[in-house]
Amino acid sequence: MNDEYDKQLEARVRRELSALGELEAPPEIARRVMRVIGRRAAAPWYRREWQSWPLELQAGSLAGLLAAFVFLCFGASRLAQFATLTPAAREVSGWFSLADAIWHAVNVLASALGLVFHSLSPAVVVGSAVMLLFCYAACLGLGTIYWRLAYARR
Amino acid sequence: MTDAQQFEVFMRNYQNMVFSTAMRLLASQPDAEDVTQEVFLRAYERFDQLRDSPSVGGWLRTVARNLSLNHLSRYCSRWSFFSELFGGGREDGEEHEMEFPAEEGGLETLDQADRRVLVEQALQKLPVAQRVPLVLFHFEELTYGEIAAKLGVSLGKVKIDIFRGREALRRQLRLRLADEQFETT
Repeated sequence: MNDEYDKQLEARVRRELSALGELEAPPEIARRVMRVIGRRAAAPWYRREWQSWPLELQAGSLAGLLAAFVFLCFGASRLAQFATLTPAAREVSGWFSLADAIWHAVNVLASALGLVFHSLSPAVVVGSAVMLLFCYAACLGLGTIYWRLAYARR
Repeated sequence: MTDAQQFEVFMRNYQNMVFSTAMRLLASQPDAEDVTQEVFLRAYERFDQLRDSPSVGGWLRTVARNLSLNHLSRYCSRWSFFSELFGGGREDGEEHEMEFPAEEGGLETLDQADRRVLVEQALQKLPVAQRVPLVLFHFEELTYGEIAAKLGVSLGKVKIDIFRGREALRRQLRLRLADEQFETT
Protein backbone atom coordinates (compact mmCIF):
# COMPACT_ATOMS: atom_id res chain seq x y z
CA MET A 1 0.00 0.00 0.00
CA ASN A 2 1.29 3.43 -1.00
CA ASP A 3 0.84 5.82 1.96
CA GLU A 4 0.01 8.86 -0.13
CA TYR A 5 -2.44 6.91 -2.26
CA ASP A 6 -3.98 5.37 0.83
CA LYS A 7 -4.54 8.79 2.40
CA GLN A 8 -6.15 10.18 -0.72
CA LEU A 9 -8.32 7.12 -1.07
CA GLU A 10 -9.43 7.32 2.56
CA ALA A 11 -10.26 11.02 2.22
CA ARG A 12 -12.19 10.45 -1.01
CA VAL A 13 -14.22 7.52 0.37
CA ARG A 14 -14.84 9.41 3.61
CA ARG A 15 -16.24 12.32 1.62
CA GLU A 16 -18.67 10.08 -0.22
CA LEU A 17 -19.74 8.12 2.84
CA SER A 18 -20.18 11.14 5.09
CA ALA A 19 -22.55 12.63 2.51
CA LEU A 20 -24.87 9.63 2.85
CA GLY A 21 -26.75 10.57 6.00
CA GLU A 22 -29.23 8.19 7.62
CA LEU A 23 -31.34 5.62 5.84
CA GLU A 24 -35.06 5.86 6.33
CA ALA A 25 -36.42 3.07 8.51
CA PRO A 26 -39.53 1.33 7.15
CA PRO A 27 -42.56 2.75 9.03
CA GLU A 28 -43.81 -0.73 9.96
CA ILE A 29 -40.88 -1.24 12.34
CA ALA A 30 -42.40 1.13 14.91
CA ARG A 31 -45.75 -0.62 14.58
CA ARG A 32 -44.10 -4.03 14.99
CA VAL A 33 -42.29 -2.92 18.13
CA MET A 34 -45.42 -1.39 19.66
CA ARG A 35 -47.38 -4.55 18.85
CA VAL A 36 -44.80 -6.74 20.63
CA ILE A 37 -44.72 -4.36 23.62
CA GLY A 38 -48.52 -4.43 23.81
CA ARG A 39 -48.61 -8.22 23.63
CA ARG A 40 -45.98 -8.55 26.34
CA ALA A 41 -47.71 -6.05 28.60
CA ALA A 42 -51.03 -7.85 28.25
CA ALA A 43 -49.60 -11.25 29.13
CA PRO A 44 -49.93 -12.37 32.79
CA TRP A 45 -46.65 -12.79 34.69
CA TYR A 46 -46.65 -16.58 34.43
CA ARG A 47 -46.78 -16.40 30.64
CA ARG A 48 -43.78 -14.09 30.40
CA GLU A 49 -40.14 -15.16 30.31
CA TRP A 50 -38.94 -16.37 33.70
CA GLN A 51 -36.30 -13.59 33.72
CA SER A 52 -39.01 -10.94 33.68
CA TRP A 53 -40.96 -12.37 36.64
CA PRO A 54 -40.96 -10.29 39.86
CA LEU A 55 -37.91 -11.07 42.02
CA GLU A 56 -39.92 -12.66 44.84
CA LEU A 57 -41.65 -14.98 42.37
CA GLN A 58 -38.31 -15.94 40.83
CA ALA A 59 -36.92 -16.78 44.28
CA GLY A 60 -40.12 -18.59 45.27
CA SER A 61 -40.21 -20.68 42.08
CA LEU A 62 -36.56 -21.66 42.53
CA ALA A 63 -37.14 -22.66 46.15
CA GLY A 64 -40.27 -24.57 45.14
CA LEU A 65 -38.45 -26.50 42.42
CA LEU A 66 -35.62 -27.32 44.80
CA ALA A 67 -38.06 -28.50 47.47
CA ALA A 68 -39.93 -30.62 44.94
CA PHE A 69 -36.69 -32.21 43.81
CA VAL A 70 -35.65 -33.04 47.37
CA PHE A 71 -39.13 -34.34 48.17
CA LEU A 72 -39.26 -36.57 45.12
CA CYS A 73 -35.77 -37.97 45.62
CA PHE A 74 -35.86 -38.70 49.34
CA GLY A 75 -39.46 -38.29 50.49
CA ALA A 76 -40.89 -40.87 48.13
CA SER A 77 -38.63 -43.63 49.35
CA ARG A 78 -39.40 -42.77 53.01
CA LEU A 79 -43.11 -42.68 52.30
CA ALA A 80 -43.00 -46.19 50.90
CA GLN A 81 -41.87 -47.47 54.29
CA PHE A 82 -45.10 -46.23 55.93
CA ALA A 83 -47.36 -47.36 53.15
CA THR A 84 -48.48 -50.44 55.05
CA LEU A 85 -49.54 -48.50 58.18
CA THR A 86 -52.66 -46.66 57.03
CA PRO A 87 -54.85 -46.64 53.92
CA ALA A 88 -54.19 -42.88 53.47
CA ALA A 89 -50.43 -43.43 53.49
CA ARG A 90 -50.90 -46.26 51.01
CA GLU A 91 -52.93 -43.93 48.77
CA VAL A 92 -50.33 -41.14 48.91
CA SER A 93 -47.55 -43.63 48.37
CA GLY A 94 -49.31 -44.80 45.22
CA TRP A 95 -49.14 -41.28 43.76
CA PHE A 96 -45.39 -41.29 44.10
CA SER A 97 -44.82 -44.89 43.10
CA LEU A 98 -42.95 -43.84 39.96
CA ALA A 99 -40.52 -41.61 41.92
CA ASP A 100 -40.13 -44.43 44.44
CA ALA A 101 -39.43 -46.91 41.64
CA ILE A 102 -36.83 -44.57 40.14
CA TRP A 103 -35.22 -44.15 43.57
CA HIS A 104 -35.07 -47.91 44.05
CA ALA A 105 -33.71 -48.46 40.53
CA VAL A 106 -30.95 -45.93 41.18
CA ASN A 107 -30.16 -47.66 44.49
CA VAL A 108 -30.00 -51.07 42.84
CA LEU A 109 -27.83 -49.74 40.02
CA ALA A 110 -25.47 -48.11 42.51
CA SER A 111 -25.23 -51.36 44.51
CA ALA A 112 -24.52 -53.35 41.35
CA LEU A 113 -21.83 -50.90 40.30
CA GLY A 114 -20.33 -51.14 43.81
CA LEU A 115 -20.24 -54.93 43.56
CA VAL A 116 -18.63 -54.82 40.11
CA PHE A 117 -16.12 -52.27 41.33
CA HIS A 118 -15.10 -54.47 44.27
CA SER A 119 -14.86 -57.64 42.20
CA LEU A 120 -12.63 -56.12 39.51
CA SER A 121 -8.87 -55.87 39.82
CA PRO A 122 -7.49 -52.35 40.44
CA ALA A 123 -5.74 -52.38 37.04
CA VAL A 124 -9.05 -52.86 35.21
CA VAL A 125 -10.72 -50.13 37.28
CA VAL A 126 -7.87 -47.68 36.61
CA GLY A 127 -7.83 -48.65 32.92
CA SER A 128 -11.58 -48.07 32.61
CA ALA A 129 -11.30 -44.73 34.37
CA VAL A 130 -8.50 -43.67 32.02
CA MET A 131 -10.54 -44.81 29.02
CA LEU A 132 -13.55 -42.81 30.24
CA LEU A 133 -11.39 -39.73 30.73
CA PHE A 134 -9.92 -40.19 27.27
CA CYS A 135 -13.39 -40.46 25.70
CA TYR A 136 -14.50 -37.34 27.57
CA ALA A 137 -11.40 -35.42 26.42
CA ALA A 138 -11.95 -36.61 22.84
CA CYS A 139 -15.57 -35.37 22.89
CA LEU A 140 -14.43 -32.05 24.33
CA GLY A 141 -11.69 -31.73 21.71
CA LEU A 142 -13.96 -32.57 18.79
CA GLY A 143 -16.57 -30.14 20.10
CA THR A 144 -13.96 -27.41 20.38
CA ILE A 145 -12.68 -28.03 16.86
CA TYR A 146 -16.22 -27.91 15.50
CA TRP A 147 -16.93 -24.69 17.42
CA ARG A 148 -13.74 -23.04 16.17
CA LEU A 149 -14.42 -24.02 12.58
CA ALA A 150 -18.10 -23.19 12.57
CA TYR A 151 -17.90 -19.89 14.40
CA ALA A 152 -14.45 -18.64 13.38
CA ARG A 153 -14.42 -15.14 11.94
CA ARG A 154 -12.56 -15.24 8.69
CA MET B 1 -48.95 11.10 27.24
CA THR B 2 -48.70 7.51 28.42
CA ASP B 3 -45.38 5.68 28.65
CA ALA B 4 -46.17 3.76 25.48
CA GLN B 5 -46.94 6.97 23.58
CA GLN B 6 -43.75 8.59 24.85
CA PHE B 7 -41.80 5.53 23.79
CA GLU B 8 -43.34 5.64 20.33
CA VAL B 9 -42.21 9.25 19.92
CA PHE B 10 -38.76 8.30 21.22
CA MET B 11 -38.59 5.42 18.77
CA ARG B 12 -39.57 7.56 15.81
CA ASN B 13 -36.79 10.01 16.74
CA TYR B 14 -34.10 7.33 16.71
CA GLN B 15 -35.34 4.61 14.38
CA ASN B 16 -33.51 5.91 11.29
CA MET B 17 -30.21 6.01 13.13
CA VAL B 18 -30.64 2.49 14.53
CA PHE B 19 -31.88 1.09 11.24
CA SER B 20 -29.01 2.72 9.29
CA THR B 21 -26.43 1.20 11.63
CA ALA B 22 -27.94 -2.27 11.29
CA MET B 23 -28.59 -2.01 7.57
CA ARG B 24 -25.07 -0.91 6.71
CA LEU B 25 -23.52 -3.67 8.76
CA LEU B 26 -25.89 -6.45 7.69
CA ALA B 27 -26.74 -5.35 4.13
CA SER B 28 -30.08 -7.12 4.46
CA GLN B 29 -33.32 -5.27 5.10
CA PRO B 30 -35.20 -8.09 6.90
CA ASP B 31 -32.22 -8.70 9.20
CA ALA B 32 -31.79 -4.97 9.82
CA GLU B 33 -35.50 -4.70 10.69
CA ASP B 34 -35.20 -7.60 13.15
CA VAL B 35 -32.17 -6.01 14.81
CA THR B 36 -33.90 -2.61 14.97
CA GLN B 37 -36.92 -4.22 16.61
CA GLU B 38 -34.74 -5.98 19.17
CA VAL B 39 -32.83 -2.76 19.96
CA PHE B 40 -36.06 -0.91 20.72
CA LEU B 41 -37.49 -3.79 22.75
CA ARG B 42 -34.36 -3.64 24.91
CA ALA B 43 -34.65 0.14 25.07
CA TYR B 44 -38.25 -0.20 26.26
CA GLU B 45 -37.14 -2.42 29.16
CA ARG B 46 -34.96 0.44 30.45
CA PHE B 47 -36.91 3.36 29.10
CA ASP B 48 -37.08 4.94 32.57
CA GLN B 49 -33.30 5.38 32.59
CA LEU B 50 -32.93 6.14 28.89
CA ARG B 51 -35.58 8.75 28.29
CA ASP B 52 -33.68 11.54 30.04
CA SER B 53 -30.19 10.28 29.39
CA PRO B 54 -27.98 12.50 27.22
CA SER B 55 -26.13 9.43 25.95
CA VAL B 56 -29.21 7.60 24.70
CA GLY B 57 -28.15 7.95 21.06
CA GLY B 58 -24.78 6.37 21.80
CA TRP B 59 -26.44 3.57 23.78
CA LEU B 60 -28.83 2.76 20.96
CA ARG B 61 -26.07 2.87 18.37
CA THR B 62 -23.83 0.60 20.46
CA VAL B 63 -26.61 -1.94 21.03
CA ALA B 64 -27.51 -1.87 17.32
CA ARG B 65 -23.88 -2.39 16.38
CA ASN B 66 -23.35 -5.24 18.84
CA LEU B 67 -26.57 -7.02 17.90
CA SER B 68 -25.70 -6.69 14.20
CA LEU B 69 -22.23 -8.12 14.77
CA ASN B 70 -23.69 -10.94 16.88
CA HIS B 71 -26.13 -11.66 14.09
CA LEU B 72 -23.30 -11.77 11.55
CA SER B 73 -21.17 -14.04 13.69
CA ARG B 74 -24.07 -16.39 14.38
CA TYR B 75 -25.54 -16.69 10.94
CA CYS B 76 -22.93 -15.62 8.39
CA SER B 77 -20.02 -17.58 9.86
CA ARG B 78 -22.14 -20.68 10.10
CA TRP B 79 -23.37 -20.18 6.57
CA SER B 80 -19.90 -19.47 5.23
CA PHE B 81 -18.50 -22.53 7.06
CA PHE B 82 -20.96 -24.83 5.35
CA SER B 83 -20.80 -23.09 1.99
CA GLU B 84 -17.00 -23.31 2.00
CA LEU B 85 -17.22 -26.92 3.07
CA PHE B 86 -19.24 -27.68 -0.03
CA GLY B 87 -17.09 -25.52 -2.28
CA GLY B 88 -19.48 -22.59 -2.65
CA GLY B 89 -19.75 -19.13 -1.18
CA ARG B 90 -17.47 -16.19 -1.51
CA GLU B 91 -19.37 -13.89 0.84
CA ASP B 92 -16.51 -13.67 3.25
CA GLY B 93 -13.76 -14.30 0.80
CA GLU B 94 -11.68 -12.26 -1.55
CA GLU B 95 -12.88 -9.23 -3.34
CA HIS B 96 -14.90 -9.92 -6.45
CA GLU B 97 -16.13 -7.84 -9.33
CA MET B 98 -19.59 -6.35 -8.93
CA GLU B 99 -22.09 -5.45 -11.58
CA PHE B 100 -22.65 -1.77 -11.02
CA PRO B 101 -24.84 0.46 -13.14
CA ALA B 102 -22.75 3.65 -12.85
CA GLU B 103 -22.87 6.26 -15.53
CA GLU B 104 -19.96 6.61 -17.91
CA GLY B 105 -18.55 9.63 -16.07
CA GLY B 106 -18.85 8.00 -12.63
CA LEU B 107 -20.51 9.73 -9.66
CA GLU B 108 -19.40 13.20 -10.66
CA THR B 109 -22.16 13.51 -13.25
CA LEU B 110 -25.03 12.48 -10.96
CA ASP B 111 -27.17 14.58 -8.64
CA GLN B 112 -26.92 14.17 -4.87
CA ALA B 113 -29.89 11.80 -4.44
CA ASP B 114 -28.74 9.43 -7.18
CA ARG B 115 -25.21 9.54 -5.81
CA ARG B 116 -26.42 8.43 -2.39
CA VAL B 117 -28.41 5.55 -3.81
CA LEU B 118 -25.43 4.34 -5.83
CA VAL B 119 -22.99 4.66 -2.94
CA GLU B 120 -25.37 2.77 -0.62
CA GLN B 121 -25.76 0.03 -3.22
CA ALA B 122 -22.02 -0.24 -3.75
CA LEU B 123 -21.49 -0.42 0.01
CA GLN B 124 -24.06 -3.18 0.39
CA LYS B 125 -22.51 -5.20 -2.40
CA LEU B 126 -19.12 -5.32 -0.74
CA PRO B 127 -18.15 -8.70 0.73
CA VAL B 128 -18.94 -8.85 4.43
CA ALA B 129 -15.23 -9.05 5.35
CA GLN B 130 -14.69 -5.65 3.75
CA ARG B 131 -18.02 -4.00 4.46
CA VAL B 132 -18.10 -4.56 8.20
CA PRO B 133 -14.68 -3.06 9.06
CA LEU B 134 -15.26 -0.24 6.56
CA VAL B 135 -18.61 0.63 8.15
CA LEU B 136 -17.16 0.38 11.65
CA PHE B 137 -14.36 2.75 10.65
CA HIS B 138 -16.26 5.35 8.64
CA PHE B 139 -19.72 5.32 10.23
CA GLU B 140 -19.12 4.05 13.75
CA GLU B 141 -15.81 5.91 14.01
CA LEU B 142 -13.95 3.06 15.65
CA THR B 143 -10.17 2.90 15.38
CA TYR B 144 -8.37 0.08 13.59
CA GLY B 145 -7.44 -1.40 16.97
CA GLU B 146 -11.00 -1.28 18.26
CA ILE B 147 -12.28 -2.91 15.06
CA ALA B 148 -9.66 -5.67 15.31
CA ALA B 149 -10.63 -6.35 18.92
CA LYS B 150 -14.34 -6.32 18.14
CA LEU B 151 -14.05 -8.64 15.16
CA GLY B 152 -11.43 -10.89 16.74
CA VAL B 153 -9.00 -10.50 13.83
CA SER B 154 -5.51 -9.06 13.50
CA LEU B 155 -4.83 -5.37 13.04
CA GLY B 156 -3.15 -6.09 9.71
CA LYS B 157 -6.22 -7.89 8.40
CA VAL B 158 -8.46 -5.00 9.40
CA LYS B 159 -6.22 -2.50 7.55
CA ILE B 160 -6.06 -4.66 4.44
CA ASP B 161 -9.82 -5.34 4.42
CA ILE B 162 -10.62 -1.65 4.83
CA PHE B 163 -8.17 -0.74 2.08
CA ARG B 164 -9.69 -3.35 -0.24
CA GLY B 165 -13.19 -2.14 0.59
CA ARG B 166 -12.26 1.45 -0.23
CA GLU B 167 -10.53 0.34 -3.39
CA ALA B 168 -13.58 -1.66 -4.46
CA LEU B 169 -15.81 1.37 -3.81
CA ARG B 170 -13.47 3.64 -5.75
CA ARG B 171 -13.44 1.31 -8.70
CA GLN B 172 -17.15 0.65 -8.74
CA LEU B 173 -18.10 4.27 -8.25
CA ARG B 174 -15.28 5.46 -10.52
CA LEU B 175 -14.15 7.97 -7.95
CA ARG B 176 -11.38 10.33 -8.95
CA LEU B 177 -8.69 11.04 -6.41
CA ALA B 178 -7.13 14.46 -5.93
CA ASP B 179 -3.96 13.35 -7.64
CA GLU B 180 -4.87 12.23 -11.17
CA GLN B 181 -1.82 9.98 -11.53
CA PHE B 182 -3.50 7.51 -9.18
CA GLU B 183 -6.66 7.33 -11.26
CA THR B 184 -6.81 4.03 -13.09
CA THR B 185 -10.27 3.90 -14.61
